[in-house]
Amino acid sequence: MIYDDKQLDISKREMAKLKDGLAAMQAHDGDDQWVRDLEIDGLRSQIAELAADISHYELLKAGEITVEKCFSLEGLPSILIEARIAAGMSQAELANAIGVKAQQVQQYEASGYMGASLSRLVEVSRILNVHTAGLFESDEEPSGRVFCW
Amino acid sequence: MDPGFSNFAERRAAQKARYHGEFFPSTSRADQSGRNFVAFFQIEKFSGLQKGIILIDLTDDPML
Repeated sequence: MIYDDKQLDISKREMAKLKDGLAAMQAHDGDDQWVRDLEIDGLRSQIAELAADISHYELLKAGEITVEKCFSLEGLPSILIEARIAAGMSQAELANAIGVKAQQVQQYEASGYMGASLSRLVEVSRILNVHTAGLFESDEEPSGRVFCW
Repeated sequence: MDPGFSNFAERRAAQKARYHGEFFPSTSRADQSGRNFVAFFQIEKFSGLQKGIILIDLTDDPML
């Protein structure tokens, strides 16, 4: 996932290099064909991943993706990051809005908001207009489980 | 070799599930293609600066 314009530039630059590498490798005849094929597949996979990340970031930033949903707490961090990008807000601007240094938001996002307090998550969600829809489901077994998200 | 190592689909999802990691073979040849792939994994994606990586040589140990 790409978090900001700087990473976008880095990703584009690295993808171009990998594409050059792939072209060079395809033109190269090696002794171990199966290793070369594996290497080519690996390169293609990495290029495809970068291309998907770049496309996703650019669509978010262009406002082409307006609704994202997640169905577990594990998905919340990426929703928050995507919501910030879609809002056209930089990490520094979000940091300013919640009264912390830009590095703190960078750290939050890089770690998937691990270590952020619940109150911080609520505050960031409110600023980024991320809403939760409560849902309670029960299979009527006395398991003591609570489903809510 | 385990066939899982050659499955790169869905961002190497099967590799991650099976091995808890990803496998990118590289012959590390001294030509452009080898250099680029190894160099890619030394890029720290937030800063664009270089980072350290661990190289594991899977060729036979000459002492064995």
